[in-house]
Amino acid sequence: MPVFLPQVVLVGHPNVGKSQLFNLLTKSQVVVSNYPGTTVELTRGKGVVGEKVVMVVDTPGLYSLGAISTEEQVTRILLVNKKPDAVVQVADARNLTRMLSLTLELMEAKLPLILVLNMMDEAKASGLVINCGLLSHRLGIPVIPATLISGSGLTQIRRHIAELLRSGSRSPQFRLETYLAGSGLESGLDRLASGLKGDYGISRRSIAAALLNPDSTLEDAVRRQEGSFAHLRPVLKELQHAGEPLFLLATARRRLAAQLLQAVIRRPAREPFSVSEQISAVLLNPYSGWFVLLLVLYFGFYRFVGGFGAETLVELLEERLFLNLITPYFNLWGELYLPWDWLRDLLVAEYGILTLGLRYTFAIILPIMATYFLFFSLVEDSGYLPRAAFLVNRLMEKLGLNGKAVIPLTLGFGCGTLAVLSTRTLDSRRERLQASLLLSLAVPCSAQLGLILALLARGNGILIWLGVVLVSIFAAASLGRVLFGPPEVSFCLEIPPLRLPRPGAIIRKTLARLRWYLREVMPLFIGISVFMWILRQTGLINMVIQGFNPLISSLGLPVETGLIFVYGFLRRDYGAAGLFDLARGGVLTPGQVLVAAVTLTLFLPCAAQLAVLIREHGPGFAVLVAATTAVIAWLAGLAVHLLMSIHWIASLLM
Amino acid sequence: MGRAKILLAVMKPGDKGRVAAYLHPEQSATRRLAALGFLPGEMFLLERRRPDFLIRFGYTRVAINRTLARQIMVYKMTVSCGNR
Repeated sequence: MPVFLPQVVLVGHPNVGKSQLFNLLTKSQVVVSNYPGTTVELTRGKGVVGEKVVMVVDTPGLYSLGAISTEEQVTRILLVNKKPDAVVQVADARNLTRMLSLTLELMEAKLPLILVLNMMDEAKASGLVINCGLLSHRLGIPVIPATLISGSGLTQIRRHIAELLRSGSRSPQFRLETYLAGSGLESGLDRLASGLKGDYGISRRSIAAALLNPDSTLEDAVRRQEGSFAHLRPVLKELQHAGEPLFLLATARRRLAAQLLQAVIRRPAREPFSVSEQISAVLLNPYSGWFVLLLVLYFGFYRFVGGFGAETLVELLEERLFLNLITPYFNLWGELYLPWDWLRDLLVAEYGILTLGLRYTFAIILPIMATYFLFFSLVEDSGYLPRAAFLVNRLMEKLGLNGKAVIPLTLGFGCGTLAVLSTRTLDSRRERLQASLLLSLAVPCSAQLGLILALLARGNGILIWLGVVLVSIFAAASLGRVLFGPPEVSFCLEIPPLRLPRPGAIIRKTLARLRWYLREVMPLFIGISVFMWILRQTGLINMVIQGFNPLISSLGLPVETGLIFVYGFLRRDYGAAGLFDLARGGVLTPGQVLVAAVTLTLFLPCAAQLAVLIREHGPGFAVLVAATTAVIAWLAGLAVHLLMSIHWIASLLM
Repeated sequence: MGRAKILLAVMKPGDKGRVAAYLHPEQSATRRLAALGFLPGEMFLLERRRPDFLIRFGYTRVAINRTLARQIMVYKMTVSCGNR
């Protein structure tokens, strides 16, 4: 049982190489990237250290145990509740002063701690000389230099973990009094700590400090251990009123860190010239930066994912492989060996799992997602994303978001379900809700986007579609402002150094993501196909479609289109494909195609995305999103329908 | 030159400064900035102020928006002789 294995927990700032170490220790393939906050959940894997099998846990980035973001809270509560047998802090050697503040905090927590200084190669390249032995001596914990990307330092790390597992020794603690300028904070924390009786994974003193910025999981944990919370409140209140305690603590640790590092680091007199800094400057300049951003979007999304993935590869796989070879084979097989209509319908008919489900999964979604993930991994590993976030921040602020939302929003053009999951990297609940709402309403996923673009490419329909979608985005953004409160007005984002992506890492990451996608999202899709089959078999589908009739006809669409919307909810791509078929069959006028395309784009998120919305934000929010998107979709469809009745505008589509 | 406290928001690109104080230390963005090590006493370089503020201290580079830049008091270290 994994529970009884010794636990080795990897912690550290975002983007310092924790996941690299995890991969080395477990030989597994967790996604490693160069964007702060990629690991949003705990990742576990078995590894061997010394002679022991251990459970290695990779955690989301952590700046401080005074956890501000949800990701940080995940790590904090893990340390509070579990008692790890070894904690390995991975740190960026170039940024030691900053990294050491966290080390000091982890030492205050009295954890069995090892400090790994990663990226020693880059530190050396920028002229830094670090005396690890001296630092280790001063801190009283092992300090190991490493370059994890090439695996150097791993042997030492393993040896020290094994030693720690044997000895079980905990780190010494530093007192901060001298650096707290007589604020009485240290003694206040001591008083708070002495009021605690429970048995925690971190020292009571650290629990006390963490309580200065509590979240519900922490409060629950403390209440569970202490029985009640009431006796702690007076001291806590007193501390919180004495200025900004977390801030004072951070400053104190910072000063202590600077002192501990004296004579440990030798810096170069002048910074060496660096090509990546020059490129970085071009990317951050608003003029050249936007130019590059547009190039990246054009070549990455439009030409590579949209052109190569969604057209060339899909055509190759779908037309050549599936429609010519596999599907006819399944159809024949069904007719020969499946005597029951209902089973044929489930497996091989027009919407069968083998004929349609398999084809959609492997011939359409797989090539699109594969090219998308490949492109995204490349951009992500280079460190480009935070730079793009810097450029678009002011634009995003108009949508009630900030630059960080560039990740979920661009992921949304790949798969909305995936994108909603990635909203976890945003800082506040308000932003997560706002981004989820925008994603659900107005960001079409690749499956949908490709078909709609193909459908509207002739004439000027695409411009009207784009206009309406943009207006709806701003409408939803304003609605979000009302519903979720005003956005956080101040914003900061770390811009990590650029890195040359490694092809091996990119491919591993793409494959890991594809595997994840096939495992997590595909079952939802297959389940929905079965659900659709049940709807058809029981005749319920007709009732649902009839329910849609009044809405459909209010938009001036023929009743057949009702099916598109029902399917569009169950599977976005089915809906878009259905629309495509109807349009090609000549059932719809160009105006009706446009109305249907606009409505379908904005209409309910697909069932899989809705399932994720419920999981992430609760059923209440999911219902709210569903209602909002339905209303906005209908209003937008109606607006376009009315526009189409103006002859001059309708003629633009011809 | 006396070292007067000014807002980070009025600094010009290329100016160097030292963090003096935050006006709203309780805000989550301020706390994040503090967690990144941008604390009173820290020396920094203002690299850009468009489209947003870009500061560099040590080997760390952080983007901050105008609102946050208006909440950070700094000592200006060098007098810029730019033409603006």
